[in-house]
Amino acid sequence: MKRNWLSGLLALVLALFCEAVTPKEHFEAGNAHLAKGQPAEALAAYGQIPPEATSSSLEFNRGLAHLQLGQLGHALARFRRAERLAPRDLEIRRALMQVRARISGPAGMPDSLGRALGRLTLNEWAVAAGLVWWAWFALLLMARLGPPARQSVRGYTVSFGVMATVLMLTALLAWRLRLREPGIIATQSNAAVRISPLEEAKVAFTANDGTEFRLTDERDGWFRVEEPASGRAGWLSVRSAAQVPVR
Amino acid sequence: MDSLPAPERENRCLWAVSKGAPNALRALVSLWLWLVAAGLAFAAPGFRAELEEDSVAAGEVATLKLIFTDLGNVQPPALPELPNCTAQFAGSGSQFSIVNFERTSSIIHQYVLQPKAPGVIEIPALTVEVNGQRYTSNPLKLRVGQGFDSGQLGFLKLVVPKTEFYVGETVPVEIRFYFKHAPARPNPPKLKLDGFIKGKENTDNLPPETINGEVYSVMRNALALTAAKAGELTLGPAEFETLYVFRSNRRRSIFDDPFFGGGEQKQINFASEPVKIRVVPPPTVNQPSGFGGAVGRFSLDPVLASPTNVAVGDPVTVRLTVRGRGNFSGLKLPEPPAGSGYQAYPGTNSFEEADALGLEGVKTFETVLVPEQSGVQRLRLPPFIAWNPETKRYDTLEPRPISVNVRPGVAAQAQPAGNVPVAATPEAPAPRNGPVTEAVPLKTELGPLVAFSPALVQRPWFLAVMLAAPLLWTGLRIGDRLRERARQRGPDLRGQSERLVKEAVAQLVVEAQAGHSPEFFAALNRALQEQLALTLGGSAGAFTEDVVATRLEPRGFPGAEAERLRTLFEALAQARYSPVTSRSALDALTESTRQAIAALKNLEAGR
Repeated sequence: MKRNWLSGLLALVLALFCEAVTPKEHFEAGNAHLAKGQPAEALAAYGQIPPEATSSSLEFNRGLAHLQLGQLGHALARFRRAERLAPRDLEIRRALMQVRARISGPAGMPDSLGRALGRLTLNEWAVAAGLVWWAWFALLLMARLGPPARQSVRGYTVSFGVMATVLMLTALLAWRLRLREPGIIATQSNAAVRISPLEEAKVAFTANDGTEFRLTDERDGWFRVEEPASGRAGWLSVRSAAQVPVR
Repeated sequence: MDSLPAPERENRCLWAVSKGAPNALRALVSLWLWLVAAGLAFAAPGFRAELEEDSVAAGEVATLKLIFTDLGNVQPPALPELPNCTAQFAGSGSQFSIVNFERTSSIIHQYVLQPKAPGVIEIPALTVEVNGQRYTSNPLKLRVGQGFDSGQLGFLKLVVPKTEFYVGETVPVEIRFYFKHAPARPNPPKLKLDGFIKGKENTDNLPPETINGEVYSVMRNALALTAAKAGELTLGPAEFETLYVFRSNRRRSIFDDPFFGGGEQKQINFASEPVKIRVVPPPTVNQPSGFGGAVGRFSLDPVLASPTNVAVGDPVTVRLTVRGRGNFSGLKLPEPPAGSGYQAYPGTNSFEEADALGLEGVKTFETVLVPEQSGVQRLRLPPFIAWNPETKRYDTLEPRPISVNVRPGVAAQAQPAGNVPVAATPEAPAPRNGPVTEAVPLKTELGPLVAFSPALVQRPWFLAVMLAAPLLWTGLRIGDRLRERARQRGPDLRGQSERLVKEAVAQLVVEAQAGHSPEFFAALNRALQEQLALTLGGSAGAFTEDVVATRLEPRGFPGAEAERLRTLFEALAQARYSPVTSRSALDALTESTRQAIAALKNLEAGR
């Protein structure tokens, strides 16, 4: 009985150890293929890493591989996912700007407010706002200890109150902007955007590879999308699109 | 049988034939059909011309038919030039007929002829070649009478502001229709353009004008024309097709009235005089090198750049706004010079029209520049060059230089370990100076693996944590408020109890004097209970004699006073069965009560 328990524990440790090492090995194998100019093999190696775990470097290198294959939409989607994870990484931002410039020119790039708020992830904004928010309430609680305590923390209370309000509003604004960002990217040339979520439905318009859309609805294998610039809307099959999650 | 009438007898005979000899009848019918089929013959192939109307008035239309019989599918031939007459192909049709066992198949091509002047128009014999054989039609004559004078209705005028244009110059031109009677159905006017490009157009009505004593309404069709080539060019004539409805001279019923849609409809065409235009190119002498063909009067707003404090690799959006009047399409966004320290990406432009023809407005160019070096980067964009036809010289619109403070970026500080050349894809357009083909560094460190889980602000627990702080604070504030309210209510209750004690003691005196024993003891009980509640806390009415020993004496209540209080409690108990009624006894109890209450107050004050 005791031996069985030990062997089970050993198997668990080994499994955990293998799980921790394997993604790195796949990542390095993919990098080696990419460096040799074999983007398809690189993508296959990167694809061995479980899809639920990712990193900004992995997404960035996947984007480079797609770029080498001329798949602008996939590349843009990967770079945007990388940016979501590491918004202050200059190389990611630069690659994103370059691929966007190839697809849509300056029109596809975020405005100055979006760029400023995009320096932090949504979670970073939320944590910063939450910490200052709770610090403010802690100061308010301290002020309840008596008049001397209230007098000593009064300046901090006011400052933290202002900071907490500003940060909360900024976090909400960042969230709102993130929700309004185009989160769907066409990954095929002349991707058909249809008037209803059916393969037989009439084509409303076609989209170039890499066209970014705003997601307005989702239904069994279809995204209801809207082109921010023109306002044109329709249904795009998930097979012709990549999604950038809100984070 | 002989008695039957003649028709009936005939029917009987037919019935007898059909019933009695069906084979013979069938043979007869077959023979008849065979004879009919055999008797059908194709008519001789031919080609002839017909006029539906052989006489019309000038300005009216006549229909010419070219009929090809049994010649197969012949294409419509081109008509020769007819003097003082326009001809236009109006469609084709086919006809199949059997006449006297002769079967004909015809293709008919129709043409609309519109003579312009009275006289005779001769339509010559036309010759076509079909299957190597030539066929010739008959010549025709169309007599043209004195037509309707369209000048009675109105006239068309082409208004050009000047007769010398520059290549690339956009000029507003007007086609004005002066009319005394409005047409039933005006079509858009047409203008013959040779060497001009038509831009936007707009139709409106001008105020009526009086010409030679006649009042004319004026309809204006304005359009923007851009001269595309140099030379002596002819603009026009402008043509305007209208449909007028005239009252019929031989009106037979009210339905001939134009009011009921009746009357005679007539197509009236108006034409203007053409205008000779001389188009010259902008002079090449002293022509600036950056001239791109823009002609007009333009001005440039100050250049806007945002942000102006960036890191290396960060985008800077530059906006240039050009205002004025002329051919804006010749204005191109100037590219930064080579070695400027900036990379440029394809720009966008938008045009906001200030008039209906788009001659005047504001054009905004927007581009993204990426600084490549740190430091204060100053950039002067090349100027816009335009030929000004008013001053007859080249205008140079110099954008003000922009200065951008560029901080060192990550890429400038650390060189990546591996470089991967990125291939340019054939389907995607490369930027003008774009760095797409440059080496893009590869990430070599995998970094921490994370999941793309929903953002914190989308998770209920995070929102609950954030809401907990204000809820906690609100709860504490509510508790404070309740306590404060209770504290504010305390003195009121105490004052009320003190007032009750005072009133009860005063009542003792009154009831003792009146000899009202029950009321006296009731007041005595109320005074003691309220005072004990004030001294010890709790509710009045709950105190008995035991309170003296259990709560008052332990607090240092004097023994004499304790004894007095016991006596009072005993008197109260005795009053239930045999109350004291004498006034002296009641006065003594009153005094005793006063002293006990004073002692209790002293005890309370000493606490």
